[in-house]
Amino acid sequence: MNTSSDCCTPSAESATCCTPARSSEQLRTVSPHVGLVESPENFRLQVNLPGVVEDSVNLSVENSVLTITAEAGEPEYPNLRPLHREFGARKFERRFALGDSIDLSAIDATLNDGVLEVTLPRSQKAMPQRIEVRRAKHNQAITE
Amino acid sequence: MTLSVQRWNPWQDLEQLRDEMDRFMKDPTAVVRRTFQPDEVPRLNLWAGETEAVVSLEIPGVDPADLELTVEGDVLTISGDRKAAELPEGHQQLRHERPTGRFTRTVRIPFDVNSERTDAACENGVLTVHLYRTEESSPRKIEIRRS
Repeated sequence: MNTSSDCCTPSAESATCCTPARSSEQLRTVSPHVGLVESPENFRLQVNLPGVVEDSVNLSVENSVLTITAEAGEPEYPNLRPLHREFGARKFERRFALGDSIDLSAIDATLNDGVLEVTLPRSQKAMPQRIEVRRAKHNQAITE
Repeated sequence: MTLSVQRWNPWQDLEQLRDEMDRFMKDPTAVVRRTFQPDEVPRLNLWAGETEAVVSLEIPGVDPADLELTVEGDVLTISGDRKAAELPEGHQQLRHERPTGRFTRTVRIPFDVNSERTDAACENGVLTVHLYRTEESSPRKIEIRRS
């Protein structure tokens, strides 16, 4: 059974029991919830990052793997006691493999109200193209 | 009780997404998937002192206009709607982990709250509500007279 949340029961006497971890090494890492929408032009990835400010978001692409990391701090109220705590300072991290159809050089990201929206445009060569159908001269089997 | 030990695969997310993307490109009837069980209600923190309390609530992407706060005695109720964006024609939701829909959270503050002074602000997807004790219920120092 997990008893790690015991430190914040109302009976806890010490006001310092919930002091956030200072260094990012000590922060708990969690996987943020995401939404993914596909359109003919792009993929849009929405990542829930509550409490995160722009400066702490990091996006990188290496070997076609998109890595998103971010850190959320925790406010301090020195004169108040934490009576109930369901979230705190933490590090968000998630990785995604990008298919060949993504234009890696045109990835764009914005952060709004705690939601990071990453736009992953399709590369031109992956865009749907109209292929003209010609009348076959003779039957030809298509094999996969 | 038997425990199945699974090797931790840090690339699972990658593989899942790649699978889905690949699959989608091959299969235009791909369905919306909920890969995680999302939290049904937003997470909440409460700090309190003698005359002041702070409640914070995680609501990424929620429009403050879709929130409603009520204070009654020592109870704060926060309700809201996590609206899902409407998808234009030709757009497909491939992953859907972000919680959506209506929620209500109720929290008891250790004192009667002065609803006039209550102050709420939304920042970076976190709602922070400052609450203050009513004058009537505030502790008062009572002078002791010499009899």
